[in-house]
Amino acid sequence: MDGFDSSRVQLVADRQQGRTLLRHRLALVRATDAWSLRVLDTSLFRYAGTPSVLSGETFLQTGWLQRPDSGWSASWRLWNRADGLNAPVASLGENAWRQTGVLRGSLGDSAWATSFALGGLAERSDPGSASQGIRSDEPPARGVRGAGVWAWEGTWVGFSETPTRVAAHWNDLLGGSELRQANIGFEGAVQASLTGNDRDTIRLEVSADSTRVRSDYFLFDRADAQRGARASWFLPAGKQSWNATGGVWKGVSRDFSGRNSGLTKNGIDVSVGVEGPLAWGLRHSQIFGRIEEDRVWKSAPSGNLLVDEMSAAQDRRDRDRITELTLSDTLAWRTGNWRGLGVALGLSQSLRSIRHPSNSSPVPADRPDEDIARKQLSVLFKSDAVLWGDRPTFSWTTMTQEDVYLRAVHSFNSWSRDENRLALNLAVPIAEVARPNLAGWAREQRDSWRFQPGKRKGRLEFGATLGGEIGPVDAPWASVQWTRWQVKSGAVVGGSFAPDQIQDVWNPEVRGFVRCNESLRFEPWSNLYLERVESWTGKNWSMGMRSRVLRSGADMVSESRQGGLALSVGHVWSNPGEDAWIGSLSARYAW
Amino acid sequence: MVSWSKIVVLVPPLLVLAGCDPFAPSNPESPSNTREAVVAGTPADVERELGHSFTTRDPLLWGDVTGETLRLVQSGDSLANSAFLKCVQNEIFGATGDTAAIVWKATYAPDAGASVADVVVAKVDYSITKGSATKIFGVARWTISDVNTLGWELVRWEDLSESKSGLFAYCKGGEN
Repeated sequence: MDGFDSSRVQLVADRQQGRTLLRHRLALVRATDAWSLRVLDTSLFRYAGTPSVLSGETFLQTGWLQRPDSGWSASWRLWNRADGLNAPVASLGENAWRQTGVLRGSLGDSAWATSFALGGLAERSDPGSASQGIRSDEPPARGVRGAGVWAWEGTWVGFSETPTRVAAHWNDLLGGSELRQANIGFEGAVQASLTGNDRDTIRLEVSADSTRVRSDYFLFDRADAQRGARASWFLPAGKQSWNATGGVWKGVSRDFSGRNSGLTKNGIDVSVGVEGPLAWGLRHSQIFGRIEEDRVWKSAPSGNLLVDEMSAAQDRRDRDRITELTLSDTLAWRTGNWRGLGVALGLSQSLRSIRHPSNSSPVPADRPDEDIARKQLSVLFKSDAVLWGDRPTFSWTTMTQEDVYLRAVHSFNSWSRDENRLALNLAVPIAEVARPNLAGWAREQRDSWRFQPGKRKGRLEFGATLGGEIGPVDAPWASVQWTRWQVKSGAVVGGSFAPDQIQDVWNPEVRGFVRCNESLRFEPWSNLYLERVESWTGKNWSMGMRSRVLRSGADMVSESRQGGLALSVGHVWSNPGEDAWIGSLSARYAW
Repeated sequence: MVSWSKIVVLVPPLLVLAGCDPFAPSNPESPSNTREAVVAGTPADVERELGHSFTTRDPLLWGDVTGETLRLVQSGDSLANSAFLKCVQNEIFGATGDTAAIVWKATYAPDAGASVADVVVAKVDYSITKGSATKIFGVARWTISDVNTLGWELVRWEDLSESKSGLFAYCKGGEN
């Protein structure tokens, strides 16, 4: 074999609303019997503002692999960032780069593998007058910083009777206190049968991962650590299938930049589910779950003793204890008769409770003790005769949500919502030349406040989309879509809506498909967005905001086995707003 | 024999029907002094909430639905907002221990000719009864605005000239 070459390049330019986006992507693969080389280069630049300023990022990654059985490889990655080029004040411009290069050797077989890597990491910053340091009270970094890099990783896969996998990795820097990049991790998994006859499956997993990063390029100085264990058991019993999972986890995050609070999370979760057939062609599914989590906050030290004492006291008051209880019941019936009919009934209930056990006397500024209870009942009807993708032919959902603040200092804000939703989706193919579809929806919401009997709000929304394609399935001539929706919002008086604002939107769209030859096609398009908002003055409806946006243009697409060119040019007429040209050019080539 | 699957399917809805609902929220404590600002969504809400502020003697609710530059005027004479608010608080709401019931009655009629989208002028025939006697009554022209404010607010209360027993006469008398 002589090896192979595969290379692709793609260039994209977009012009929208006074902003130009330039993107490129270059991928090269060159492989011989002795070695292979991969290169990936991408960039994204924005050109915007008055006067226009250029900002963006590039990323280059190259990898070289000596013959696979030799175990030697090398890689180099380069990040580059430039901001504020061509700014009216030159000192606003900034740029920075970060690069890593490593040489890696690995050995092993199908059961185990290990690898070692050695290399270097360097960052360079050339800050501008608006640049920031990692900490807000520190000046931005300037100049070059570097350190050595080492890494080790190993995996072992064994035992055909009880499949097991163990993997670990560790990488860190050598020298360079201003740069930090360390990651250590472990994961193990084993799968077995408890009953011994292979009908059931139990899987145990443990994992731990700790990361420490300080980088002027990314403006990070933080540490994150997670560890956890999880067990899941799948057991068929008769016609029913039982599934039980449980896990414990701990997560710690610390931000040394002083911008965000640190957080320690401890949690445990269990879930039990059963599903299977019932009599008369019915199927059922029940899933019960419970989650408990403790969250302890830790404010970043400020260096001021008094401020830090106050922050620590606030952190103690903010300590959260969260429990969540969920139950989902589904009952479904489906038949192949009558051109495929199906009905599903779903009930889901949940209660999320948030408590602050360290805060016996909360004040308004403290995190509130809260119970959020949700109940949702859905009825779905499907018919294969008029099915539009996966969408249900008809559905009705009713839900209630109660958000209760338990303590006197917050309980005034306790509120609840009743909501009903209807949806209809129909697709009715006509012969082989037209595929019209219709989607209609309606939603009503009623909000009320437990301790404010006079305060009730409502929202009523309904809309429809009618459209479809005309022409053969593989070569349509045109697609047309007409959408309209209306939203009424305001108060609820007695049991009735008393809207004080109506939003009315019309959105027709049309697109034509003209095929000049096998590789070239032309698509003229147009869409209109019309929005009106009316407000009730107490005596009559007053016309508020009106908005009209018309976009028209054409796309030209040329595609061949090796390359493609797509050009889109259009014009936007906005009222209010400014008229503008929009355009997009995308070119790709593979060789 | 009852199967596990039937128990699993039937028990949750039966629990709900029996009133045993593990998903119900806890009962909250009664609210302490904390309150949320009332936002008048329509000009008519201003009249309703202002009346509510009289009946509940709530100066904060009064402040929610009145503008910072509210003036009380009649026949070219006027009371500044501070004097107007002082009159309402001290003379009508009364001091601590004054428990006489206050009743607000009003008919609200927007004036179409003088109203634009965010400023509404309305004629209000009002009466304020404190205890057993109706002391204050009259016809006022209100200007209600939604310009740069959170909701509609009363920005001008003009007692018409025929209102000899109106709020202006009451407050002006108190001032003198």
